[in-house]
Amino acid sequence: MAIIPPLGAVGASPAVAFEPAVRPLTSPGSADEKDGVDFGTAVVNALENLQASHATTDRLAEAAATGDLRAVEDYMVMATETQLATQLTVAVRNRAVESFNEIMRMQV
Amino acid sequence: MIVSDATMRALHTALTGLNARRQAAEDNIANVETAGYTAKKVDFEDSLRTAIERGEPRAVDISVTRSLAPTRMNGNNVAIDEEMVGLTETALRHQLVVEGMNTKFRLLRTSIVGQ
Repeated sequence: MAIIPPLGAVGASPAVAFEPAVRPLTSPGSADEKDGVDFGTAVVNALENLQASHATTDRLAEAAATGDLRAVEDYMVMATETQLATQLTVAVRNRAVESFNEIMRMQV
Repeated sequence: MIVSDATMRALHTALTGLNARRQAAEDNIANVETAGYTAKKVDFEDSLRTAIERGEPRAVDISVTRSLAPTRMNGNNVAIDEEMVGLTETALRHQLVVEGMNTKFRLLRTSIVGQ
């Protein structure tokens, strides 16, 4: 979609690539040691998957417009999946903002 | 418009083309007994396909041509059965494209409203 900025920019933004100053207490070893995918990468991967899902739905929609779409069910399933994935992304974002606000209101 | 991307413009063009085809089929059915009337045909798919590849899905010419099929004694060449089948197919495709347009608008609304 034209109005969504390219995801390369999201990955490069300081908010996502930010390295926490406080290391997790459970890994007292070296600072480079990481088990699993870190949060920023997970978020970027999820957004990239969503973007790819949007692109596939758009391609199928264009096929429907030109009359080349033979499997209508593929398009309907893909469109609904994309809709649900977008709603999930928005829900996660809302929860993240909510958590941030709650932490900001904490008494210290 | 700021909210419509290339896909939505392509769907919009398809709706315009399908509307023109429906109108042509209705004209043909209405004139099935008119002496000297030749059936109208609407084509936009090939033009739309190249327009999408060019990235300008609104720059499509919807061409209306006259059928060159052999005519009957009164100079009319409307095939009523073909027109009826074509009308139903056009209506179904119209429904599919409208559904596609609605899907795009729903996605956009979800992203804008944030819930």
